[in-house]
Amino acid sequence: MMWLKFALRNIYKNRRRSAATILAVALGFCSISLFHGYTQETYAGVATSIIHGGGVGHLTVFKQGFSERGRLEPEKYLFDEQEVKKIQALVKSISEVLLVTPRLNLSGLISNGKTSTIFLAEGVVPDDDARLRGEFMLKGGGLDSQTPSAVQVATDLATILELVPGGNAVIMGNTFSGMVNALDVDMRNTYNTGVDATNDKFIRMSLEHAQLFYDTQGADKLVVLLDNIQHIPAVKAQIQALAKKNGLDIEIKTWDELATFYHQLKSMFDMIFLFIFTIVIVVAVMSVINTMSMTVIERIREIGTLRAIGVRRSGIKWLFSVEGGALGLLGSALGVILTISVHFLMKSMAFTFIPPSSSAEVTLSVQLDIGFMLVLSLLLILLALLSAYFPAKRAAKSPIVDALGHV
Amino acid sequence: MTIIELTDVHKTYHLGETLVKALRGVSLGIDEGDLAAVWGASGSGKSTLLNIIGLVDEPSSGTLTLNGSEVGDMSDNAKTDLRSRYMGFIFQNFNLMPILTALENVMLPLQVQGISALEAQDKALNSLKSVGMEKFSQHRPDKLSGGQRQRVAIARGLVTEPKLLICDEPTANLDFENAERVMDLMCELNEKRGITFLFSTHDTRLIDRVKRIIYIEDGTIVKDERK
Repeated sequence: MMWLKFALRNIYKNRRRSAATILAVALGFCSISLFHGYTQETYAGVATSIIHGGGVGHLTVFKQGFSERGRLEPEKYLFDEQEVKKIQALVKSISEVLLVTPRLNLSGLISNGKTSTIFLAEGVVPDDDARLRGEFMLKGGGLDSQTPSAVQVATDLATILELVPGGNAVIMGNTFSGMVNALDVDMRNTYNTGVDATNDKFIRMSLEHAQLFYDTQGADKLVVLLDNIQHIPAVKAQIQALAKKNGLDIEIKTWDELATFYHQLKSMFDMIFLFIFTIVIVVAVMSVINTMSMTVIERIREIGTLRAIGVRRSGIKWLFSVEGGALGLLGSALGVILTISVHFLMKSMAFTFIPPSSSAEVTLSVQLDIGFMLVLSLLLILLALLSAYFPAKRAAKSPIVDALGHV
Repeated sequence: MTIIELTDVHKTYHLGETLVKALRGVSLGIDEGDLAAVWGASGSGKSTLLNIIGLVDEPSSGTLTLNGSEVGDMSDNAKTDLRSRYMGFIFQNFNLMPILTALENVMLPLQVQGISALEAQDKALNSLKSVGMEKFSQHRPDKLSGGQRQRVAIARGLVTEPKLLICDEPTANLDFENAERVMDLMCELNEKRGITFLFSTHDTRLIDRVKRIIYIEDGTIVKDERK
């Protein structure tokens, strides 16, 4: 307590210099925690967008080998109708599972009678899809199980084909048995895939119509929706165990295994964060080192006096370390206040921007990660403490007579 | 009873490339109850002698015993603890902590010893009272005159009830009146409480007041006069 009183009074005595140091630590704290909050918000937003908005779900069940050979020989890695029903029944028996729905991917040509272009499509069960997408449901409504030929067309593709809601087109391609097939589709509405590269190719349709296109009753995957993202590892293990027990040769992919974009985005943000974190920490610590080195030099005589009246070398180191730590603590406390203030300011201003490779506007927001802020505070306090420790150690080692004679 | 004994103590400094012999074979004993002045001109070795006796400097050769124990081979922590328990210091420039009040300055050596703040406060107030500074207990050093600061410094030196109070030119920065008051105080404390004082001075006005004068010239004790 005595050293804390000493430290706080000395900080107050040199209040201008201390204020500059505290502000440097606080601004460093604020910028790191805001950027961390932004990356966390982005990760969470992208995850939700992939799971629900992208309709990927938490887990996807494929036939074993689909990920290596499925694109080349899709018909060999198709679950037949019986297998789909069996897997659905097994997976639904797990309490954390909210939904198990089959899907079928397809590709071919789409034509409006004048223009033709390639398309990529996904056949979904309309009611399941509505449940999976939840708040990400398109404004014009989803697919309708009563109208199997209805499709949703990506906006750029709709523009290319001059398709408007209520209009129709023809999709063409080969069935799994190699026969040419063509089907009429009715355009229900358009949607934005969120990625420029896919916004001119994608359509969504009912599973029933997709199966008709490929002349099959099967599905190439089953998408599983859970009650909580945290349950993924446990449910994945349970499904694997159930499949093995029932003689089903399957492979299960988690949402992030299927979303390579997520990993690229996360790696990039993690790298930027590390870069910013390092620079900011170095600046903040250098500020404390500078302040504490000056403080130690100015107080050499005081150190001599304290040593003469019975303070050990360790006491001198402790005295200045406490002062450095107190600067770190005050800087972190101000940093927390600044972070919270900026967080709410950003929330009220609702800034928006268009991310790279995206065609949709997103709101700039940051998470308040209390755990991270606590760890960052402790780190800054520790670094500030060490910044003071080393100059103090050097000063404590100097002969007392030299310190007493210091002017 | 001899508190501190020096035998053939030498102290040599390197001042750049010059070798300065500050003490040349000093042998001396300080007895309990002494009110001794080390008298000599500037650069004669007074401060060096007091620093070595006060364990804030080390002799280049020779031995120093405190209460019969050789201190030469002791660790820095052991010497620090000896200073804390047996000695008090009064400096020419007072050396009070500017951020602490007079009371807190006096409490400091006790708190360093690990005494609780409450007990330290009681003792510090008594110590301030003994030097007539209790009314100024809440004043910071910059609000006190030179004489008042030195009295607070004496209270700080006395508060641990040391066996020996070492004063390096305690009146050098004081006017005559304040120097007299400080000297009166030291004499009174020596008389009434039997505190041993050892101080360096080249102020001739103080010489008549002490019981013992140790004359030092060029690092050698030339005369040790007891009255």
